[in-house]
Amino acid sequence: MKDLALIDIAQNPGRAPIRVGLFVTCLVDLMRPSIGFAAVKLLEDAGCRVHVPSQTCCGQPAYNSGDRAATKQIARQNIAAFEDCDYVVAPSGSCAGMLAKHYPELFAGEPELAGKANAFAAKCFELVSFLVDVLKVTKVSARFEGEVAYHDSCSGLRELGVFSQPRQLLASVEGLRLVELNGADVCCGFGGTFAVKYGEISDAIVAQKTSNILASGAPTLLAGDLGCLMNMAGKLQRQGSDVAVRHVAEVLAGMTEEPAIGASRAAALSAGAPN
Amino acid sequence: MTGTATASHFKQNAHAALQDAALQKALQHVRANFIDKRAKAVARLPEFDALRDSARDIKDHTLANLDLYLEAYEAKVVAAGGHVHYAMTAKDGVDIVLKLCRERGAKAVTKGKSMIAEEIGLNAALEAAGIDPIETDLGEYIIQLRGEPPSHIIAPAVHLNKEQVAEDFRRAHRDLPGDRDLSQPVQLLTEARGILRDKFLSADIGVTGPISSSPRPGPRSSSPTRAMATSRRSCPRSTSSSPRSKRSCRRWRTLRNCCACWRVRRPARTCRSTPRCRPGRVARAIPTGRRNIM
Repeated sequence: MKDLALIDIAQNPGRAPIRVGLFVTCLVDLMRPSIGFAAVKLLEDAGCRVHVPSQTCCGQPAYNSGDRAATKQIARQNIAAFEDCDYVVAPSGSCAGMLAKHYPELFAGEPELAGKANAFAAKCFELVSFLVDVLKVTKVSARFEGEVAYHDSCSGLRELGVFSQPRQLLASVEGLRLVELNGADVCCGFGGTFAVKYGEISDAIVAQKTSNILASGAPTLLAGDLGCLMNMAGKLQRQGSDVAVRHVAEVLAGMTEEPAIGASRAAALSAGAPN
Repeated sequence: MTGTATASHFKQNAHAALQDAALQKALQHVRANFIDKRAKAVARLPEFDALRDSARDIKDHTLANLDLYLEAYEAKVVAAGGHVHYAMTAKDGVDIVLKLCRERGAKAVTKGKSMIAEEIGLNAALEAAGIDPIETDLGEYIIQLRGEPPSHIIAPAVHLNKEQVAEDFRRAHRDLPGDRDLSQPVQLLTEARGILRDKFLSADIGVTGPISSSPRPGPRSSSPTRAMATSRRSCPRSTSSSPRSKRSCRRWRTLRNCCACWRVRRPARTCRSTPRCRPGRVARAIPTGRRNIM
């Protein structure tokens, strides 16, 4: 486990706000910036100063496809971009896992870069676990009416141990009731390039996931990774389901004005004001 | 290899598998039999993650220092009166086993579940040599009757339903009365057990693969340097390109092949399979104490 107390926030209440670099992630930047804004709000509410330096992809698609040279180039760039940040936080377990777990592996054979990669990795966190584990946030001030199901994304759960933290913060959202999702910790079938390369298998996996989501009876599905969310939202939509799919940060930040993922603005308006 | 590599047809195979109703029905059991049972077992073991991490560390450490551990293991085996054969290739491994079988005049070989045997194509080689290989693990026995490769490393017949197994038994067990009820798993088990018991008793040689081997005796040793040469299906570092990893991969190949150091009742006298095993040198392996459990 990494040392969570790089800066002991609890014991230094009077110190300058910690400088958090927001690693926005490609999908959030291109598909759903509202998650990025929700992340900024949550971090600022917790007393952080948020910076969003010029950045690129974390390199995971290249890494998973075996292109280590390109991945290293991307990694060096990101390490430099966040050099003056105390922490790097991503609203994604998948991208945060890449930064925190795979960058050190990438440079393991290169002593000079390995040190930098290790130091960088030690300050990288997934958003919700950062709020709970590092900033010691125990509750949020947000309201969301209704039942929600929560899906554990593979990388966040298995690489970073993100499990209890989102549930803990969701429990503090007024009006929200978390319902049991059978197989919550089972992959949704997205798997990055996997969904593209093996669409038919991916589809069979997500079909199991959506049948569990529908069985949960919750009208809203949350998770911490936009890739998984888009995959599940896409399948639900094609099945004619009206389950609303959102990133957990949107709900925790109380920023749910945006139509749910995959829902059109017009449809959201005609269905009445979203939560 | 007994199987044919089908990686290039993966998508077509996946398509066919997804349309296969019997297969999909069988796979429905995976959730209850693997995932839920595993979760229950993990819940009873609070230190599960720590133990798993420890096992991984031991394995990584052992693979990185495999030469030392293999020699230490070998020395212990020899001291216990056994012999070790080193095989550099799958063919060498098969040849060593065939030679031992021939020396023994073996006609039937009972096999414990072994992925190494699967990977080097031992059954086919034994059959070609006129020796009857008998799988004794229930799942392996079933797929042997069907002429299929295992679908999973610890659950070789996970792709089958009990009705399919009943059909296989009716086809292969000629003395089975047609009206015998084989509708329940326990009835299938009893039937297989009856057949296999006779085969156990009449076998000439037993073969198994090691899951883990240690030069240090005693099940309670907790030293982090405990040697554990484990049998895995692929090199854990094979995706890495560092010199250290390449070395590990070479060692890994050695380990895999050494897993072909079959525990047989009567080992060969000489070994020529590696440069280190000079012709005429007394070959080594197989703790004789193991004979009792075969």
